[in-house]
Amino acid sequence: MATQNVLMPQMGESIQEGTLTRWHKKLGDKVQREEILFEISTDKVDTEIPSPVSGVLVQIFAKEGETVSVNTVVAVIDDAAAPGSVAQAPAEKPAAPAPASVSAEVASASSSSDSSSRVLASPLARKMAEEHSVDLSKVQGSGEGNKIVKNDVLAALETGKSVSPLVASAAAAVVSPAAKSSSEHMKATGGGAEGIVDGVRVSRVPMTGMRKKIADHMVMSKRTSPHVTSVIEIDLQKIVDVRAKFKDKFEAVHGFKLTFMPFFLHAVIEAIKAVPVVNASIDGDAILYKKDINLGCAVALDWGLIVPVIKNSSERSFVGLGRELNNLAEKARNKKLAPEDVRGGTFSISNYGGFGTVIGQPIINQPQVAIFGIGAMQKKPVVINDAIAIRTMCYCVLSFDHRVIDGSDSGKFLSTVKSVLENWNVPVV
Amino acid sequence: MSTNFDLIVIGSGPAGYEGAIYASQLGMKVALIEKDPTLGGTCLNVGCIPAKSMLQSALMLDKAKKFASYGVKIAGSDNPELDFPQVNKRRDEIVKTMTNGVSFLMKKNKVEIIRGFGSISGKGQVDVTSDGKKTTYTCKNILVATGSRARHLPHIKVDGKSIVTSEEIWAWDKVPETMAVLGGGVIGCEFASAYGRYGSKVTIIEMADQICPTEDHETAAELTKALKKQNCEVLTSVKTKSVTAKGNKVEVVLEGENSPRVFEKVLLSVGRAPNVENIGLEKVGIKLNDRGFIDVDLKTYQTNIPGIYAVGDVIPTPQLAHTGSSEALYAVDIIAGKKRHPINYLTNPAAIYTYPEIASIGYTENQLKKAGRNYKSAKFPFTAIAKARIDDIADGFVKILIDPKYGEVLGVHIVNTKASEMIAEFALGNNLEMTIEDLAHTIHPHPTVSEIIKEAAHAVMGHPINM
Repeated sequence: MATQNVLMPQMGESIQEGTLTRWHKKLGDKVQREEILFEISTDKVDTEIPSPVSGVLVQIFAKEGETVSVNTVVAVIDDAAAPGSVAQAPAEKPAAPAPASVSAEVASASSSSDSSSRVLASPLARKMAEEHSVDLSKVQGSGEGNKIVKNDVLAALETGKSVSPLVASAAAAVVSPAAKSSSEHMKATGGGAEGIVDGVRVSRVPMTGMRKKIADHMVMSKRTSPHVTSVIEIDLQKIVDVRAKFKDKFEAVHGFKLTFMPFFLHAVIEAIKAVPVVNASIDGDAILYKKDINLGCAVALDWGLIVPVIKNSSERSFVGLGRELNNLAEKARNKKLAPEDVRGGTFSISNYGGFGTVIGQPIINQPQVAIFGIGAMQKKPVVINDAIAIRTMCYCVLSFDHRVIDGSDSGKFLSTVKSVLENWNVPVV
Repeated sequence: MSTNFDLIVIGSGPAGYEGAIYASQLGMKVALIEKDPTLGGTCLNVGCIPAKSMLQSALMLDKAKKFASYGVKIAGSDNPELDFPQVNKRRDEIVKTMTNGVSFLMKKNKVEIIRGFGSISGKGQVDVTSDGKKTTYTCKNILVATGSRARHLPHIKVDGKSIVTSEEIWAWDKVPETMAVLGGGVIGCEFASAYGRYGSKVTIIEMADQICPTEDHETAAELTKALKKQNCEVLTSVKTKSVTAKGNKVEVVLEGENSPRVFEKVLLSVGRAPNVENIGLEKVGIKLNDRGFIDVDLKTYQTNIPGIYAVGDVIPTPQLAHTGSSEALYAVDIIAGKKRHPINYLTNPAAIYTYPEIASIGYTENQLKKAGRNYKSAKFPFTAIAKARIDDIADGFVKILIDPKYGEVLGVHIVNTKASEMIAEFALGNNLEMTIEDLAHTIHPHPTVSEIIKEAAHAVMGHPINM
């Protein structure tokens, strides 16, 4: 019998954990290689994870709704088992690729039936573990008598090694107190507890993992970078005309719709070439200028926000840019984004104008140093050669990290974007 | 007398003698070297123990004045007076009993006492000089616990009579009419609180912007208020320019003042200096830090020279008897090859025995602010505690500072006559890494003074019960 561990995949560079939102297979189900096995949600992506091998799902270690660290074993598939069969108890905890060190004392306690209560930990360590779903039975204690103390939990959180609500087999369930109470907590509050706060009727719903991560990332960014936002008004009439003229032919030739986004992508790439400091990050006292231009384009979804990345944007043709963006947005909406689709962004674009917003002030996607925002396109009377004309206008902005980018850089960047768009001369078909 | 030991301890203060006892209990052959005629070091002879005895007399005088309010009538108790010679006699008796007790403990635990001045003469080698005669002892390990002495200032000449430090003040046979206390730290405030209540007109002169500068600002403010009621004038942010003994008086000139202030006596209490001189540190190359304290590794208390350890006031950790004792027991465990979890100094309590007492543990509010830490704070007053009113000790408060994220107790500051006893609950709790909920959910007996701890815990969680 050959078994294969199924791991929580690494979805993005900075991602330490993911929430397993749905199992597509039950224990004992037969599963084909590449068949969708489960769905996960991280701060950056919601995606379906295919099975790495064909076989029978004989063990499941992570329940729906549980958040586990990357590279944690979430299931075991047996390629020789008969359908309907499950692993016989007592199943041993599978060896994770990055096993946490476990002291002899704690390890022996874990094998007994009431292991969770026997883990010696301080009240503070227990509370922190509960909040972060740290499995204390996997943490090495450094206190008196190997007691797990605050610093041990902090260390576990830092390495991410023990952040796992790992549950042993159904026959000998060894549930950490942390995992148990957090899932109970979820049940208790999942429906939205009704109540009154400051005289106002409220429904209290815990944030999803994705929402929490977005919140943390936004706060972190605002704390990290002194943000400044510059605004420029751009005449898009020429782009509107070009698009109107070529859109049918474009779709017929290339098989997807011509939107305004590729025009903006091209203009932004030209502007980055002119002002390379916007495509950089800060490393201590140094500036890391990125030689590749990998544009992240925020895509709004019903359930949150994803920023897929168009790799090597500057090496792509106009059509190539449009096609890649189209592919990524499609994958995002269908939860098919792969880890590499969201990694390695060097500059981001936010298109809030699609919802009618005229001017926005986007927050920088760390560790990048600038983000470009596109406002709504509006027909407006404008003065051209002392005459009033009706043109399609749009406000575009650049939020930038003033530690490395000055107003003059921002001005140069935005005027390059404006100039490229207003004097469009790139073939689109 | 043998000359070869497993451990030689230099200094018989709380760190030294407790370390010696423990080492002997663990099976080591131990010698304890002491230069003074009695054992016990500063704490027992001229520090904590006599000071607290003297403060207790002041407290009894306060109580005696209030007998009538308790409904107790004693013939002639309308105007109780202080019998200062008796204060000193009682103090000396207590000191004698305690130092004799240490001698008894040494015998009981088979620790060899070597009288004389000990100094390291090489690795595993200690010279003891007594009456001009030098004897060399050898050992596997040395524990330096030579303690500290009152710090002097170059421009102030301590004459031991009208200008004294906390070491000569015990010779006073009467309460001075006026006295200046130079330095508003722990020692200065304790003497001010005692002598103020004995009837002396005391002036505390402190350079920092608050007395007890290491304590929380609110505690210091509360103590300032209390001291003012005890015949003490409190001057802060004031430097002393000169101190000159003139006949029976002492003239003190303060910066910014031209004419001198005149006092009968002056107590210089500007901290304590480590006793690192002439004990042979340089012979073996033991490193000192930039402030003159012996550098040790806080995971072993070993100096840079293997086999030579140092604990207590001579190393740069809090200069408190209980801290020194804990360090000594720790070092002995290390010498014995036991594994220990390093001492967490944030769980080390401090106490000041003024009236009311001050006790604290962990961070002050200003330290947390300065570090930019997120914290929540609450103060619960003793006036809301029935037993404190019954005992007539309703002064002060318990202030708790927590990290709101996990409810970790970051700092506690208690002002009350029972503060030094109550802080122990936090020392235990913090050592076990309790959360504020653990504290609030611990059943405290009622009525007691210590139930305020539970109340303060509820207060900092946002729902004070009895207030």
